[in-house]
Amino acid sequence: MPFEWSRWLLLGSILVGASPALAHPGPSAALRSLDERIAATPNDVALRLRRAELRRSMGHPRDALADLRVASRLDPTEREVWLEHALTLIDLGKPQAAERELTRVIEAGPPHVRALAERAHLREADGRLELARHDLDAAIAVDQALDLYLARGHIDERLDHLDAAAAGYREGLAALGPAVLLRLALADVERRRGAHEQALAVLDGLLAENPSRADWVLRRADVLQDAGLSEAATAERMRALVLAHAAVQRRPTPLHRLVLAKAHLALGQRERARKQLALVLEQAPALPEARTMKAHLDESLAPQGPP
Amino acid sequence: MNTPPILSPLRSPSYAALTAALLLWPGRGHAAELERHPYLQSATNTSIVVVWTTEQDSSGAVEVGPSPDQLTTVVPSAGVGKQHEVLLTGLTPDTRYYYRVIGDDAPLAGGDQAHTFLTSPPPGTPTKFRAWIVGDSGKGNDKQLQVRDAMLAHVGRSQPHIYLHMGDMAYDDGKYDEFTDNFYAPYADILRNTPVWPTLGNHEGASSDSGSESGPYYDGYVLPTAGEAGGLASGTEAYYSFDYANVHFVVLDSHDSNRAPDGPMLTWLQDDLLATEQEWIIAYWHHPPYTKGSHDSDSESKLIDMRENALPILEAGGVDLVLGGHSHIYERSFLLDGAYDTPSQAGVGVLDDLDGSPLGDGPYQKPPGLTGHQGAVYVVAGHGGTGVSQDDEHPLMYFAEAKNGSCVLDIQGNRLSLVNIRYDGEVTDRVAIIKGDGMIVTSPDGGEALEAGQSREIRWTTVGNVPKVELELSVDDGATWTVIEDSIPNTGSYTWTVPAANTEHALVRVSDPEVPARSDESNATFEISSTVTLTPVDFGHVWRYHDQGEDLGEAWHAADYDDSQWSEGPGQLGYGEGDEATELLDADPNHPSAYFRTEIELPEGEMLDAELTARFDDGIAVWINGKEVLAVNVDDGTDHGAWASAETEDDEPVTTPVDLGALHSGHNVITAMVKQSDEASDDLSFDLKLVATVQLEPPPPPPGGGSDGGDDDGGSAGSGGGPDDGGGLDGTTSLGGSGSALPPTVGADDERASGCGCVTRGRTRGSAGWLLGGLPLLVLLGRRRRALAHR
Repeated sequence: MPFEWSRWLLLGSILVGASPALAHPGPSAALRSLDERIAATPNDVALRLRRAELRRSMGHPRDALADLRVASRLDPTEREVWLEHALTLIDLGKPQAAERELTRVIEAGPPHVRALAERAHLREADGRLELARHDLDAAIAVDQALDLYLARGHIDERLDHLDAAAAGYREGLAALGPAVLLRLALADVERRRGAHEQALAVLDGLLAENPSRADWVLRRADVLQDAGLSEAATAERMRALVLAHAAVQRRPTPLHRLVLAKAHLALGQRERARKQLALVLEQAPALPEARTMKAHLDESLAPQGPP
Repeated sequence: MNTPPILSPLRSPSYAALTAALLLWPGRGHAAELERHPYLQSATNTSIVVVWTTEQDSSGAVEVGPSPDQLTTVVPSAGVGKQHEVLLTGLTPDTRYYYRVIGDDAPLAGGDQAHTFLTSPPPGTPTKFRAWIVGDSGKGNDKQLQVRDAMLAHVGRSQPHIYLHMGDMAYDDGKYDEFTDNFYAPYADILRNTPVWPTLGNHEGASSDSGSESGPYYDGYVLPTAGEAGGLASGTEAYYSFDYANVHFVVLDSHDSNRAPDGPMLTWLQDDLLATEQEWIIAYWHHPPYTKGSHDSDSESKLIDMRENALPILEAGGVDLVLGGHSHIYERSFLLDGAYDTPSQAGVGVLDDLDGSPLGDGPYQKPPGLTGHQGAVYVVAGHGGTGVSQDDEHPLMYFAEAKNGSCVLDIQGNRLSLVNIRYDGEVTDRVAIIKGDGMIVTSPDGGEALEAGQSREIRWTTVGNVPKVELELSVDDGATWTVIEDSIPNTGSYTWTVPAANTEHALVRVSDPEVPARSDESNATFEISSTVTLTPVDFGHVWRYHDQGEDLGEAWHAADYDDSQWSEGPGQLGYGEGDEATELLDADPNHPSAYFRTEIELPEGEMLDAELTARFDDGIAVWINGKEVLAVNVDDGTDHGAWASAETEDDEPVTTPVDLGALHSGHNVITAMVKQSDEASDDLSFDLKLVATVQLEPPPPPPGGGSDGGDDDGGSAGSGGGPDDGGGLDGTTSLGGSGSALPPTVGADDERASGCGCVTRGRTRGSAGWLLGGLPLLVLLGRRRRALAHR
C-alpha cells in the first residue's frame, strides 16, 4: 500500500526520538501550544482570547466561553473579548445576547467595523433592515470594503430602495475599482428599477472584458426583455446558447455546462436544460448553484394539480 | 496597499530633473536607510510593483532598464514616506529587467546583477516556469533559514519565477516588526527577484482584517483587486487571482472572509473560474481541506468550510492542484475528486490510488485541456519553519512527513511536477500530472552539477504510446539543441556520458520523434563543468618494458619507436620486495638501467595542471614526449651505464608538477628509466601516476548557429536564467567560441576510450575506471547537431 512509506517515516521519527513531529502531538498542536503558554502565563488576555477563538473555530464554543470569562475578569475593558464573546454566542444560537454584546463593543469606543457588520447581520436576519442598514453605513464610513457594500446594497434591495442600492453599488465601485460582484449587483438593480440603459452599460462593460461569458449575455437578454425588446432578448439568448456551447466544447467543466443549462432554460428548452443539468450534477453533485437550479426546474416541471 | 499611492510611470525623465526633484523635497537632511529591502508585487506580463520601506521618511524612486548600467527609466514614488510602492508599466513580456531603488538623493539598493526581475510570459503561453511554495514559515528561526537554503541549493541557478506563500509568514501576531524580521528580512535575497503572492494566515489575521483590508498584511502587500494580473476583479486584496504562463492561480482567504457558498468570495470564485481560459488552475489558501497534521480537517470549522463549500466549485471549474498551510506538516494526496465528506473517508473520492510519482507508478493523468472533476492533487505545505507534528494519517493522503521543508512546482505545457524539499535538502516526495499524452524528464531535472566525462542516467517517464524517443542536449538554456540519440527504444532511461561543455545552462530534452511536440525537458538548468581531472596513468598501469641490460641510446624516447618486442605488465614492476605485480629480471650482476614506455591520448583542451607521482628504487628519470619531467638520484646522468647516485625506498613516492609544455592534446609518449644503485642491489621498483586537469573544449556551435524550429512549448530562453545569468534583456545566453571536437578516433584494437576523451592503449586496471565510457562522447561530438528554436 502506498501509505506504508509514511507509516515507516513516522515510525522512524518516533524511534529516533529526535523528530520535531513529537513537538506537538495531539489533535491540535496549536491548541496544545496555547494550553502550555496559558499554563505558563495564565493572566495573558491575548492568549486567552486566541484560545477562545480557536476553540470556537473547532466547534467548542462552551470551552471558548470559559476562556472569555477569565479574559473578561482580567481585563474588563477589552473590546475584543466582548466581540469574541458575541461571536461565540452567535455560534451557540443566542443572537439576542450576541447583539447586546456587540452593542457594548460599538458603544464603548470608536466605530468597530467588525462589530457593526456582525450586528447588521443579526438585525437583517430578523427583519430589522433599517437598523441593519444604519450599522453598515457606519461601518462603511470607516472602511470601504466589498462585503459591506454588497451587504448594504442587499438590504436596500430588500427595502425596495433601489435607487439607494444602485447609488451604494456605484459608491463601492468608485471606492474599490471594478469589482465584478458589485458590477453584477449594480446591473441587476438597475434593471429592477427600470434603468435599462444603465444596466446594459454595466453589462456591456463586463462583456467587453470577457466577451465569451454566456451567463452575462443572458443577463443582458433579461434587461432587453424587461425593456420590452423581446426579439432582441431572444436573439441575445440565442447568442448566449452559442457561446455556452462553444465554452463547453472548449472547456467541458460542470461550471460551463451549468451555463449551458441556463441558456437552454432561458430559451424555454426545459428538457434540454434538465439534461444538461443532470450531466452537471452527475459530475458535480455538490455544486450549490446546480442543486438550486435543479430544485427550481423540478418544481416548474412538476405536474400541476387541479386549479 | 499603503499610502503613498502608486504613481503612474514617467517614461525616461531626465536624470537632472529627477535629481532636482529629489533635492527639492523637504526634510532631506540625512541619507535614507532601508528597513525592508525591495520586494516585488503584482507582477504581470507588462507591469510590476517595487516596494520597499525606509527607517525614516524619505522620497523614493526606481530606476529600471535592460542592464545594471542601463537603468534609463526613472519612476518616482508618490511622495515622502516610509513605505514606497512604485508601479512600473509598459514592460515587455517575458523579459528580464534590472533596477535600483533610490531613497532621498542616494541609491539604496540595486543597480547590480542581483536586483532584477523577469516579467511574466503572456497569459496562455505554455512557457516553462517554476514556483516556490512555502507555508507557516515566519518564525525567524534556524529551521526557516534551513528550509530556504535547502530550496536554493536544490534549484541552483534556476530560481523560482514566483513565490506562493500559504500564510503564517509573521509569527506570532503578524505585527509590522514581525513581518519585517520574520518575512522580509530572511527572504530579502529572494524577494528582490521573485514576486510573492500571499494568502492571509491566522497569525497575520491577529493584526490584520480582511473586511477592512487593514493591518500589516494588507499594508505590506500590493495585490490585484481589479483583475490587473488576470482573472476577474475581486474588489478586495483578501482574495484574488492571477495568471502566469498557462496557469490560472486563485488565492482565497480562508481565515477572515465569508466562506459561505453564496457569500461574496465563493460567488466571485465561480465567476472567476468561468472566465479563465488557462490550461491549468491552481488554488490556494491557508486552511487546508484535508489534513491530520497539527490541525484536523475533520474537526475545525474553517477547514471544513473550505472543503465543503469551496471545493465543489473549484472541482467543477477544473482545479488541478490545491495548496494550503496552517497544519504544520507536509502532506500530499492521491488524485482526488468529490471528497467533501466530514469526516473524510478512506477511498472515497480517490480517482487514482497510485503514487503519482514520475519515479514510481508514473504521473497522474488527466484529459487534455481544462476539464472538470477529473481529479486534483491536494498539498499541505505548512512546514516552512515552525514546529511540525502529525496527529494521524489522513486517509486521502498518499504521503505525509512531519519535517520542515518547502515545495517547488514546475509547469511545462501540459506537465505539472511538484517536489517536497526537506530542510536537509532531501527530496522526499514527487508528484506529477500530465494532461493528455506526454513525457516527463526526471533526471537531470535542474540544479545538478555534472562533470564532462561523467556517466549519468537520463531518466524520463511517458504517458501514451511512444515506442521510441529522441534525446537532446542544450547548453544554452534551450536556445539551441544537440542530438544525443535521435531514435532509441523508449525504456525510460539512457546511460549518457556527459560531454565537454562548460555551461551552467544545460537542459536535456526527451521527445517523441514521431510527434515532436510531445516532449519534456529538464525543469531547470543544470551545470556541466568541462574542467576535468584525468588520471591517464594510474598506479597499476600496464607498461611495456625492457630489462635485458641493452643500451638503447636515445631513440627509445621517440613516439614512433618500435617497442612491440618489449614485454609488458602492470605496475608495480620490479623485483626483490614481493609486492611487484610484474617481476622484472634480477640479473647478476645488476644491469644499471631498465626502460619503460607507455602511450596515452589526451582530449582537446587547455592543460591547466599536471602532476606526476613515481614509486621507484633507486633512481628514476621520466620523459614526456622526450622532455624530461622528473629526475631523482640520477646525478651521474641517464646514460645506460650510469648507476643511481643514491639509494631510496619505493615506499616514499615522489610527486612533482609537470611542465605543461610537455603534455599536449592527442597522442603522448611517456618514457621512464629506473636505475640500480650498484651491481649488488637486491631490489628494483617502478610505478607511476599522472594526473592532469584539462579544460575541455566545448563542442562547436550548431551549423549556422541558428535553429530548426522545434516544438514551441518547451524551453524558455527568457525565463530559465537566474538573476546572475548575465544574459541580455531576453535572458538568453550563448556559449562563445567554437573549438574542435575531441579526436574521433581510437588507436589499435586494444585501445579503450577514457571518460573525458582520453584514450589509452588498453593497459589500465585498478582505479582507472573513469577511462571507460569515452567513446559515446566521441561519437556524440561527431553526430549531426540540430539547433532548435527556443520558442
